[in-house]
Amino acid sequence: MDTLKKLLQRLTDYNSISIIGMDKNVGKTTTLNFIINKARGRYTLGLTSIGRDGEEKDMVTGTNKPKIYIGKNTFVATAKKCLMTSDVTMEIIDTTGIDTPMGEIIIIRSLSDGYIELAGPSVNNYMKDICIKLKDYGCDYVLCDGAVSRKTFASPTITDGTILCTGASLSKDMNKVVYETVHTVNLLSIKENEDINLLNLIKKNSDYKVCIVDKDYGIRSLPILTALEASGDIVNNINEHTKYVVIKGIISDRLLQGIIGSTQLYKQIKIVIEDGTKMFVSKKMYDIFLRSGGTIEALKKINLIGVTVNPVSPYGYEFDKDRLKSLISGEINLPVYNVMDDEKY
Amino acid sequence: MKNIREVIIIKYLDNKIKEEIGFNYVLNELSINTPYGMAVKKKIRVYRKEEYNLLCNELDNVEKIITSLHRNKEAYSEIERTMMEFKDITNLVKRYNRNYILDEVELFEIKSFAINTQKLLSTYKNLDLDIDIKFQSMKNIIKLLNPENKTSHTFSIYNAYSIELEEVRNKKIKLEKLIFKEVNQERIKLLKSERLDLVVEEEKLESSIKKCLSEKIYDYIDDIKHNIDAIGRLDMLIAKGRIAIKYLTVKPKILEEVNICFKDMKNPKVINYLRENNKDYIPVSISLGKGVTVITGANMGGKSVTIKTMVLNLLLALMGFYVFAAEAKVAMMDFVYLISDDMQSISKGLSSFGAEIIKINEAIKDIKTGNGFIGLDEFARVTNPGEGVILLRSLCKFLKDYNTVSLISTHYDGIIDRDMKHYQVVGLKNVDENNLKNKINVDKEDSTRIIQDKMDYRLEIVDEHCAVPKDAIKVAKLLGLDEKILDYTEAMIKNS
Repeated sequence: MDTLKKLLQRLTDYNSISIIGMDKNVGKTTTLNFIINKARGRYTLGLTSIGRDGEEKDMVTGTNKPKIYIGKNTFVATAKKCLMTSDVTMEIIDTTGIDTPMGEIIIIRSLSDGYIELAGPSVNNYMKDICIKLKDYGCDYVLCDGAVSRKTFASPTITDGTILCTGASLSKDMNKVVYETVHTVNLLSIKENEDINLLNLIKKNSDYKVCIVDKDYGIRSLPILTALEASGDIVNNINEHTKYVVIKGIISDRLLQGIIGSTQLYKQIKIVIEDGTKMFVSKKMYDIFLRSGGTIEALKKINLIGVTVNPVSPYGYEFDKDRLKSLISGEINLPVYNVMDDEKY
Repeated sequence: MKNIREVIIIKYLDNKIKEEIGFNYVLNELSINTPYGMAVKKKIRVYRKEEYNLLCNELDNVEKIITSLHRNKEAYSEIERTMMEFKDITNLVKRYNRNYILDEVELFEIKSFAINTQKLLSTYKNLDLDIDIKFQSMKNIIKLLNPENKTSHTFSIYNAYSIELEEVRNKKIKLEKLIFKEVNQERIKLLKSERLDLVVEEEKLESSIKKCLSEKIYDYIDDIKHNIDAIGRLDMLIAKGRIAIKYLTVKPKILEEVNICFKDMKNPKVINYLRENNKDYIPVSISLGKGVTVITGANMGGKSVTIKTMVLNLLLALMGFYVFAAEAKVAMMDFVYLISDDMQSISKGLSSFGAEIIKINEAIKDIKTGNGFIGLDEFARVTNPGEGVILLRSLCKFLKDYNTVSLISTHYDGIIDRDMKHYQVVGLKNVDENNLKNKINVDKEDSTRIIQDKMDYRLEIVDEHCAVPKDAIKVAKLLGLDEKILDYTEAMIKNS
């Protein structure tokens, strides 16, 4: 059985790790706190968050953002407003010039233990800069509190590894929790497109919503506003010479349905998306698409390194922790950890 | 007060023209290193007539910096490295007042500013420059924000500020250790609530320290403001020096009488463009007094570039820059106008001719009350030639009587009068036509490039009887216009 202890040992293999939750209250904060707690005295941690919009509410505590409890000598990059509500004795290390709705991102070192809220930049490049800075200050690894949300532009692809958190709060039906979690893992793990020609082409033509790439790498950007309603335009613009349809933004059931329903050409074409977090497709639709010969790949891969499960729901029920863990384990090829695992070091 | 300022800014060229003449290119070439230098760059303007001494002083400063830059390469790298560390605290300074309490981050920002300024100051002092940029010492601020005497660039409300604070924090840390070791959730809850009391106590003490620091630092607010200003000015001055060295420029002489004279002037934007196409830049000389000067010359002869280059250098000189020329003398100007149909905005629904007239009307108001410069690039080119000539002649006649320096390029005949200066583009005059024609025959695809290569863009003074050169026909011939048309042309010239 995989324990969190093992997870912790694996973490040092990565420079930066993002932790993303399937839903609120699936134990993302618990997972973060667990890792922080266990790393104490062994590793210097850097903490930050991938773009939080400030609306996320923690149901248990009723506060706006889940607070985490950090140890002394932890480096944290967070928005100024979060610092002002923190009870950590802190040393201001640097200002970053990166602004968020919650104020500028400031880098601090904790001189005591205490609670702090994390809010980070929502732009990938800034996120990268911050991870590099935190490493420069001597952090052994950087933990990013991430979000799978339509609202964020930053994605976990900028970190070396990603942990997905799931839990009982998703549904009262344990099978449904397993079903949803496995589906999300499959979506997040979408294979990376390895065609270097395509990658270079996209780098040069980054300003697009949807673009059509031919077999000889001719590229056409479709004049549409969002990918959500683009199926008609896509169908009208592909032909026998089309190699890829590259989509920036959300992939929905409706989009896939629109394509399958109006052409057979999609079977020879690869749909390329930004990364797995952009897939908001039901399992049923995804299965139909794959079985009928469709292919979806991502420009960037999300390196999932594990799944944590929280068998306890804040809504007042809990599952058998071992059963939930083993059901999920049985269906995916990743280590699964229980956040309520009380095994001590 | 505000109104007066606005008028002055409007009088010196809009942004579109600044882009066209290569002014924005020069500004982008400046290597500014601080947000304060950026602010100076953003507000850069022409020195007004009554600021004659300030302009001369600024040019002297640039001269001193250039000499110093040559002698102290290492020190300037050091200064520029330090400058890159500066972050913008102007907004913080704006909201800071006697009753304002700085938070930890703001204290950190002031500390960084003070440390960087002090570092800059010590390198700068060693240069022993005789210029009017002086810094105020920030040692007292640094001392306030570094109570433990460590040379640390970070900041926290240090224990050294208060024994009470140290005690509370030690108690807090002890509790935190207990909390960490405790497994019993109930016990943890109790310990955490005990910790909360200490947190409140700590925050109270921290607040009073922040208040005290804010009051003490406020005593130095004028020094901080002074230094912000000095850093911005020094940053700009070094950038002016650097670009002067890069392009082999000259210090312009500022004249009392209305005169403009450039020997071998250049335009960095055009130099760069030509370099990318593996071509050399031909410097052009020009000398203008009050009244009207006319440039005539071949199509493709670079008349527009010459006017633009002149305006660029005039503007730079009046802003306290070294100019891109071998020699330069300029008078201070109340206004600088450049009017050219390819720069007019037609979005307002005006024809380009209409836009020209409106712009001229605007300029004439100033011409009547002050003295300045007005450049007219191919005025009335787009209207019918008969009327165009008459309009241009009338305009010249009008401009002659004012103290303004007017420079007009045209390919219309019959504009030049006895009391106007007349420059002609040397053009293809000295080129052997047959030789050129043979070259073009060999490589027809490249005909325009071959002509450009042979084109002599320099200006020469000619008398008023000298007609506008007929280079247009020459160029048409070289570019292989149908022989029959050319036959008609020759016949017509003979008959006229």
